[in-house]
Amino acid sequence: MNTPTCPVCGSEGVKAYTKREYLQEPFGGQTAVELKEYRCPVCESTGDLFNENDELIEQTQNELKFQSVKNILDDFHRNKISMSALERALGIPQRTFTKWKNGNAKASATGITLLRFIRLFPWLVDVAENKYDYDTAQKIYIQSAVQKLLSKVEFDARSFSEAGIVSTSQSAFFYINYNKGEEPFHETVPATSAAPGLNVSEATPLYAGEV
Amino acid sequence: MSYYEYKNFREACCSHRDSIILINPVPKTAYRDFNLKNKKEVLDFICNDGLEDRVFINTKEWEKNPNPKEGIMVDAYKFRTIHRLGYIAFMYNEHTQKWIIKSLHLSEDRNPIMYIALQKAGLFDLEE
Repeated sequence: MNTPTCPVCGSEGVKAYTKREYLQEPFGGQTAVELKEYRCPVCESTGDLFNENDELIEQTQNELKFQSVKNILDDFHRNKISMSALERALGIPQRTFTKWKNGNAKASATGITLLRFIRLFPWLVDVAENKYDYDTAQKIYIQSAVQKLLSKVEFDARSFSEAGIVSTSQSAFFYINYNKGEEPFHETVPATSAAPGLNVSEATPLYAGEV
Repeated sequence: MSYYEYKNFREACCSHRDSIILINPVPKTAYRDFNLKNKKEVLDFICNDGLEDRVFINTKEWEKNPNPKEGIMVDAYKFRTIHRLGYIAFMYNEHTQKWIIKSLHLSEDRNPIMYIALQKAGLFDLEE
């Protein structure tokens, strides 16, 4: 049997081998695939020299994408967000997500991207609910950021008296006043940079009870 | 001056896909740096003018050519895609009539002015 010619350098004697690769999709997990590759002993080029792997890679990625859609929609369900409500808020025809989840219709690449963004930033659904109004969207975004920040700060809600945000033109600081015994102390925690165009100094101080 | 006409390479990416070979580590770096998951996505990207603000860097002889008398030249370009600066190198073997993409990854020789500007703007997240 003739050994194939190297398409890179034109030499004879190319050798085949298999290589295990892990393909992954965000929220879809990963799958191992056995890819057939070749190595040229003369020019030392390696890879899919005869274009044999693309079909397998694409098929596996499609399966992982389907799994990612399923996982994301399951996650919404676990968090008590129904597909019907999501479709309504996003202005997507009813039962679209159900069809995607059941495999009755293939989710478009755009649809998968949308789902991933919403999975990462659930507050985007609120933005859609508010008809993409810019000012409301900014408030939702900031509120979400502050909530995230508060969840990262360790404090006992029973022992602090005050929290808020102060800002300069370039940055914003979140602060908490603790009551520690009879001697209160003041701690300043660096917060997030202000979003471009957002004047945080105009923001109402945020107290934990209100967030 | 480039050795190959870029439009010929691009045309091959669009219409003669069997004539394009991606050698290692291109599939890996194309995914790592540009989220291009397979050969089809790489060729679609090039075909659809994804290599924006392309700048020719140089032409070099392919060092591993087993027939140095029949020189095979490699053209290298820098390009931009959104805020990323990329690098691509390719060559054509007349004998096998194949275009070979040798490299496709983030540029190691980033334009420092552009890089600093993008970094200051908080838009660069490149880690090579």
